[in-house]
Amino acid sequence: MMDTLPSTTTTTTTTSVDNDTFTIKTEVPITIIPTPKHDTSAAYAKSQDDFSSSVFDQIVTAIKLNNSNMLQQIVNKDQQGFRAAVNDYDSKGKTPLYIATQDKCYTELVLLLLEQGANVNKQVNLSDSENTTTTTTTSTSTSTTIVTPTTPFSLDGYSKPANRESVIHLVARSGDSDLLTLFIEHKADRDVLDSVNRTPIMLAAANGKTECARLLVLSTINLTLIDLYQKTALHLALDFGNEDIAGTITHNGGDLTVRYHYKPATQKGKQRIVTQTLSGDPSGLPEIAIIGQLDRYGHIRRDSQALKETQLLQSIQEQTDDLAADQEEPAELTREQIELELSRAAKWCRMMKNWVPGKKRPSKVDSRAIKGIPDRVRGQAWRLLSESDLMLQKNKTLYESLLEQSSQSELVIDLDVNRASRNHIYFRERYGQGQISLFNVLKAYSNYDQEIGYTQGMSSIATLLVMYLPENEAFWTMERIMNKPEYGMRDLFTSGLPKVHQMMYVYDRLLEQHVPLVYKHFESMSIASVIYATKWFIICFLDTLPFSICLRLWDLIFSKGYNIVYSVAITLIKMNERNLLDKPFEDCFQVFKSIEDMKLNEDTFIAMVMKNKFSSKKIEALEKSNN
Amino acid sequence: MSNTGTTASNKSAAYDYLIKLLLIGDSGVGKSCLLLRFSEDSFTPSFITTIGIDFKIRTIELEGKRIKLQIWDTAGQERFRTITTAYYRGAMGILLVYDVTDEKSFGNIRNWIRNIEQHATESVNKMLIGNKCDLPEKKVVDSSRGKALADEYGIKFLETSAKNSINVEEAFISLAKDIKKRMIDTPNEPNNQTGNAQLSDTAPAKQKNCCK
Repeated sequence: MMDTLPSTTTTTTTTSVDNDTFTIKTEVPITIIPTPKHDTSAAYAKSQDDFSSSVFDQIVTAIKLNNSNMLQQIVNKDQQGFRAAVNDYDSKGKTPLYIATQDKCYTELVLLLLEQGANVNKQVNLSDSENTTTTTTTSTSTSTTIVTPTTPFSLDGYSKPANRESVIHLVARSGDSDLLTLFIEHKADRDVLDSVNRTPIMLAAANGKTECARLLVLSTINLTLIDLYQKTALHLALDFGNEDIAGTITHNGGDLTVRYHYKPATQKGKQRIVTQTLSGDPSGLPEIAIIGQLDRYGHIRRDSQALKETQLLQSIQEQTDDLAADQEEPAELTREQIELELSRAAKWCRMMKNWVPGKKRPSKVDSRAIKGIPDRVRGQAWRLLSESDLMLQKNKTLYESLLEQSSQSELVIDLDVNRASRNHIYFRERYGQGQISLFNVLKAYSNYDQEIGYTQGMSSIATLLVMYLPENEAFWTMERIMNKPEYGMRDLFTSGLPKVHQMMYVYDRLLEQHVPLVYKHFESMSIASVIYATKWFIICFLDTLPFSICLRLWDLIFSKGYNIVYSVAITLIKMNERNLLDKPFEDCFQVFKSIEDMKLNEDTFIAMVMKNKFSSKKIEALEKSNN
Repeated sequence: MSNTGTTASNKSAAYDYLIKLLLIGDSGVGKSCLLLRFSEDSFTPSFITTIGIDFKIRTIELEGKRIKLQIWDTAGQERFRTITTAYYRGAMGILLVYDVTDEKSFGNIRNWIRNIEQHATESVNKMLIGNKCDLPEKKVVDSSRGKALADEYGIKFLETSAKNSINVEEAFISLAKDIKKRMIDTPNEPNNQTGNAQLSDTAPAKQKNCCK
């Protein structure tokens, strides 16, 4: 089987390994010319009964026996010969290092091979008989070479070696993280391609070898490389439903946009997504039987969620029926309310038909907005009020091109998308359609306004817009909220949050003038408005007031301008004045936190806000007095 | 942090001492979850982003004394620091939190320490917390590195899980103990005076009802 006959020489060696002393006195063949082909199995059989085999054969024998002492003896006997033979191929095209890795030899044995000259980056040349993934190479007339996979895309292909690969491919595929660590330490090329253009991370991602994927990603690798199926490691992690690996990759430089947009190509990947959604994993959200537990806006009712989670935690199955029976249904709309809303919606429809964006608003718009825009026409009304239509018409394809650019803010956007409105049916599914739209709008905005990029809090506003508007319209409406003078929320989010500080000053003056007792009480308690009101102003009470009232408030913001939030703040303080006055520091905040639980009537509350409305002149004057 | 001296004299405060703690660290490391676990012993996987600052209360008993912990939670994103750093000065103890599955959050701890040096009182007690230790398969910051960093700054270190309630109690209470030791048991030693005299918040417990 050997291509060339190795020349031999006689040596006598005494080796000391641990406490055992071996004396080997024999004719030892030493490879002088590297021999490309050895037959491992033959060598193994042969070396069992005589010692006259080649150094290569001896090395392989030691590996087959997983005996590092024996390997050490071979080194001690003839280090030069060892180093000359250790990178040879056997008849199957494998190097000793590859064989040792494949046989899952002890780490110390593999380490010894590496220390004695085994080249960690030497690729093996496996024959097709090894059950490999292969390719065909076609040469076209223009002399470019096209390499195409011979088999259709499948996991099977990724669980097999390619004809040519490195040991690092082997460990990434098999998930041997100890050896992978060792190879990385010995400067293995982590971005090396096998003969079908796969990098080690791709194999780890496809085969769900989480620890190996993590080690590779942390060792700084190129995550944008694609294999013959045009897949990056992230695509493969998603295809094969390996969620953790996808997460590791996106958190260390992988393309998050792929994470949101790629639809897995295998049943396993799709299945995984369905399972995650149902079980709530990986977000950890408990499974919820959705039907009948949503409010009219799509939020999972707080009481039903709490109930379900308590049940899950306590696993008290038998109490389920009792608890469910005790659960009081919050009042839905009455028949009268529904009829009123329908008739209002009809009026809005007629009004909006003749409403040309950018032209004068229909005269009744403002008074009707105070009454609340009917939910079914809300999105369209917001669009018209903010004149985002004009922006969209002027910049027809800008949104799409903003989406194509990568954004510096992707990671933090991803973080917040996953925690924005998770109790809303549309945003609940991780990487589901709601989260995709939200991610897109925020990413596009971060590219549109690079000075801001993304500031936390913006996700709450975008969430609201995405509930009512198609993505690109939500984006342009957001853009108007930020930049149109009557809204001007942009400086709430720019570096240093200048508008937050400005607003605190204005708000304090309003508080001083309009609710002086509370102002004094807060002063004496050192209750700074920035503690409780920052959130109020940045996300327009979305986390403070009941959602139905927030929507009414946004109707007002869109029609009257952002400064209406001052009136809401003062209204809330006035409503709670008596409650706040005799309360110590901490209890005052408790009052603020329980605002959502106050049984506020929407119409009454909005009427109070309108009563407390401040003229824009007044606000401007206060703003100026701060400068 | 605002002076809450009047709090203690009020009927609703049944405690001997008030200790103010502060949670800082990158966005998403789990500061709010740690606080929720400690103050209400609950966990929600989908915690809303903290905007600006917030606080929660829990009263504990240490060596026979009732200690009210007022724990301030902060937004992690850098641009919120114009709001949050104003609350460093009143803090007697600071928990620096990183996420053991997020290398960057660990790397940023040095920046957070610099922030403390700039804005907090010099003698403030600090503690390093590596949160999310319930995810060993995703862990990228080895415990030994956390320990080494804490040693470098001479502060305590714990790995916690707000989700599985591991070491959360220990973290807050151990920090509170150190503060009590520094400010209450040996208040006259050098470096034991913070800028604020929060310990004057103490009032006889008999005047008070339950703080709940």
